[in-house]
Amino acid sequence: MTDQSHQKTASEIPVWSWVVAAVGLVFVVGSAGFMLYKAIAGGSSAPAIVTQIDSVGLSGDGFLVQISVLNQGGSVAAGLVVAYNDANVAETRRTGLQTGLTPIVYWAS
Amino acid sequence: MLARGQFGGSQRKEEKRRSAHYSGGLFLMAVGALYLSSSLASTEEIVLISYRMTAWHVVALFVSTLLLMHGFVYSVVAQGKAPVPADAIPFWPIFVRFTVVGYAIALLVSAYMLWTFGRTDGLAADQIVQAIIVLGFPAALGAGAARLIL
Repeated sequence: MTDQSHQKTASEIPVWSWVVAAVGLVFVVGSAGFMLYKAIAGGSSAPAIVTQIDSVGLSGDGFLVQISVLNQGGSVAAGLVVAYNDANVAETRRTGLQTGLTPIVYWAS
Repeated sequence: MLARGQFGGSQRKEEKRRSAHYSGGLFLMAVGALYLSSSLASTEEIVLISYRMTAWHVVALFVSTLLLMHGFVYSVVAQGKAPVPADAIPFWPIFVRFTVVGYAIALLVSAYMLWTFGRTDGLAADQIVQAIIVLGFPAALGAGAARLIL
């Protein structure tokens, strides 16, 4: 009796809902797998800051130097400050606490 | 033939009703996830929290959120609001069709909201996934609550 009701209920479930469930399962398992891989692989390297000058140009009475600061390390570089040689902080147009090969663009004039 | 037609017709009608109920439930989950995540995705805290978490923290949050989601789904099924009899279907079909799909919706909505507010700009792939899972917690809460309450 119970088996019959199980079979009947299973047959009443629309096929497309199983397709949706399969897509959802792939998505959720993929996310979990990715984070598990990151957790098990572990060993994030320290932040590795690389600075490069993108361009130098006239701006008003001075110069505008556009630099990119990249964090090529495997962990976040929090509290990173870019300063002139006279210790003034450069004006930042876009900042973030990124890791990986993504540019952080700073503007210094 | 008449009996078969009548029976088949009512079966199709019942199947349509169940389909509509299921898709309606998923829609409510998406609305709930959107409601809670939209107010949080615009803040910087979600990304900052994800920065401060290790990969194991994120895995733990992932599992906790999935359990929370299943708690909501179990309540929905127990109250008879889901298109399944509370005692006729074993654990896995409910878990896969409702909990996992609901959480996938919450994660997708989180990803969309983070992208909309520019919180994924310049981030590495692993940090985007971390931020999505962090925002996925309130999104799943909203999805589950919406499915339970509405």
